[in-house]
Amino acid sequence: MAPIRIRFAIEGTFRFCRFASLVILRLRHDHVLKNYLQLNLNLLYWIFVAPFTGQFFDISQIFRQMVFIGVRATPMVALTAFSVGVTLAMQAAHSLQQLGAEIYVPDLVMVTLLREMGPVLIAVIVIGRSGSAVAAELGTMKVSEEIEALEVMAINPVQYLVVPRFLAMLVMLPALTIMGNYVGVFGGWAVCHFALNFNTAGYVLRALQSADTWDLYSGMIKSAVFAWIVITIACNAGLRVEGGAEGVGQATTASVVQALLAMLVTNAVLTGIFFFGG
Amino acid sequence: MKRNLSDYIVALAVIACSLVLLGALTIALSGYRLKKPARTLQINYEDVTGVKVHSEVRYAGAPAGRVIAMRHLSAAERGAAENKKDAVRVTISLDEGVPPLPSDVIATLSSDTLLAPKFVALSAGTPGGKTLANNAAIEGHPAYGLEQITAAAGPLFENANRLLDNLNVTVTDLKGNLGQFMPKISPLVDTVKTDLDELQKVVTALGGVEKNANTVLGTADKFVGTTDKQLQAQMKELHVILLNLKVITTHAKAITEALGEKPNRLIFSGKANTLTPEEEIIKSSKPLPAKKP
Repeated sequence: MAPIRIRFAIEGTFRFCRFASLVILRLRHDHVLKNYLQLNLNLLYWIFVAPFTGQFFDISQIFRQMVFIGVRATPMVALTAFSVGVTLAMQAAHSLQQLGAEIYVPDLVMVTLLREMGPVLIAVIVIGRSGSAVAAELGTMKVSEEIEALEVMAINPVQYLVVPRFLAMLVMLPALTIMGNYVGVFGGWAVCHFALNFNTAGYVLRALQSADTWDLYSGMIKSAVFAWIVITIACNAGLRVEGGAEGVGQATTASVVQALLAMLVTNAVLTGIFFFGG
Repeated sequence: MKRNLSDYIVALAVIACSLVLLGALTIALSGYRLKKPARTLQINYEDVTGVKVHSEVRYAGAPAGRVIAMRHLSAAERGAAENKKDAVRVTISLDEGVPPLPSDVIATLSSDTLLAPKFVALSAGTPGGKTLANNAAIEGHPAYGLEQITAAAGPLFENANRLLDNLNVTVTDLKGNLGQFMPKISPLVDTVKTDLDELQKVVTALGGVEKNANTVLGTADKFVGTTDKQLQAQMKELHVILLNLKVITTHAKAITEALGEKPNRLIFSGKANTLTPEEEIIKSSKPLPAKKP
C-alpha cells in the first residue's frame, strides 16, 4: 500500500512540476507575465499617485462592483461555508469520538476555518463566480473594441475599468471571508448541537478558547492577498483577449485556472511565512 | 442615479456589517471585556501548562468564572512570594452568583479526562470562617496529571532498576556459592539425621523421667497432707495446754502473793480467798488479778 502511495506522490509531484514549468514558459513566451506586472504597476499608480495629481477614479463604479462581486456572491459563499463547517465538524467528530475527544470538534472547526478553509474556499468561490465574470466582461469589451473607444476618448481603461473592480474585490473578499467564517462556525455548531449534544454556550466558549486574534488576522491577510491575485489575473486576462468570442472563452478559462493556481501557491507560501515566521 | 444609491446603501451596509462582525470576533478572541469583572482573584502557580486566557474556572466543581489574565511574576515578586517556585500569576474573574470564597479555599489545575482541557479548580473551603477579599492573591497548587506522575515515578523506576541490577548480581553470586556448597551438604545432612535419632531417644527417656517425677510429686503431696493433719491436731492440743497454763499461772500468782504476805499460812490455814474463775481467765486477752476483787 505504502509503495503505491509513494509512487502516486512522486508522479503527482512530477506532473505538477512539468505543468508549472509549462505555464511559466508560456507566460514568458507570450509576455503575459510582463503584461501582468505592468498592470499591477498601473494599478498602484492610479490608486496611490494619480489622486494626488487630480485624476480621481469613479467612486460610484467601485460601489457598483462591490455589489456585483461581493453582495451577489453572498448566498453562494454562505452555502459553501455552511457546508464546509458541517463537513469539518462531522469528519472531526468521526475521528475524535474514537478517542473520546469530541470536545475538540469546535476547536478544529474554528481554527481550520479562520486560518485556512475560510479564506481559501471563499476565494475559490469568488474566482469561479466573480473572477471569471470580470475576465469575460473585460474580454468582451476588448473584442467589441470598447476599450479602444475609451482610449480614443482619453479615458484610461485601467483607471476606469480595473481600479474600481480591484478596490471592490479588495474590500469584499475579506468581508465575505468574515461572513463565511461565521456561517462555517454556525455549521459546526449545528452538527455539535444536534448530533453531539453540545450546548450552545459550551460550543461558543470552546471555539473562542481555541483560537486567538492572530488566527483571525492571518486569515484576513490571506484573503486580502487572494483578492489582489484573483482580480489582477482576471483583469489581465480580460484586457489581453484576442480572437473574438472564442478568445473570450479561452481567456475566461485561463483566468480561472491561473487564479486558482496562483491562489493555492500563494496560500502555501503565506502559510509557510506564518508558520516559520511566527 | 437610483441604482447608484441602492448600490451605495447595499455595499456600505455589507461593509459595515463585516466591520461589526470582525470587531466582535476580534474582541471575543482577544479576551477583551467591555464590562469590567466585579470580582477577581489572583492565583500564583509554579506551572500553568494547559491553562490559558478564557480557560474555565470551577468552584466546588460548578462553573464559576473564567481566566482573564496571565502573566509571569517579576524577579522581585518571586523573591517576595511565600513559595519561591511560583512563576506565573493567573487572574480569574468570578461570576456574580458565586458566594464569597472562604480563605482556606484551595486552587488547583484540573481536567475532566486526560484529553480534556484544563481548568482552574477551586475547592469548597470551610464555611463560616474568614472570606477572601476582592482581588486577593492566593497560592495555587500544581496539576497532578499523567506527566507529573510519570516525572515523579522516574527516580523510583531508576532506583528499582538499580535494585534489580544489584539483585541480579546477588542471585548470580548465590548461584555460584550454592554450586560450591551443595556437594558439602550431603554429609552434613547425614550427621543431622543421626543427631535427630539421638535426640528422639533423649526425648523418650525424658518422658520416663517425667512419669517418675509425677509419682514422687504424688507421694510428696500425700506426705504433706498427712503431716498437715497431724500438725493441726498437735496445734489444738498445744492450744489447750496453753489455756490451762494461763489459768495455772494466774492462780500461781495468788499462791505467790499469799506466801509473800503471810508465809505462816502454809502452816496455819486462814480464810479461803475467792479466785478469778477459769472461764474468765481463758476468755481474757489481758493478764487478770488472781483474786477476785
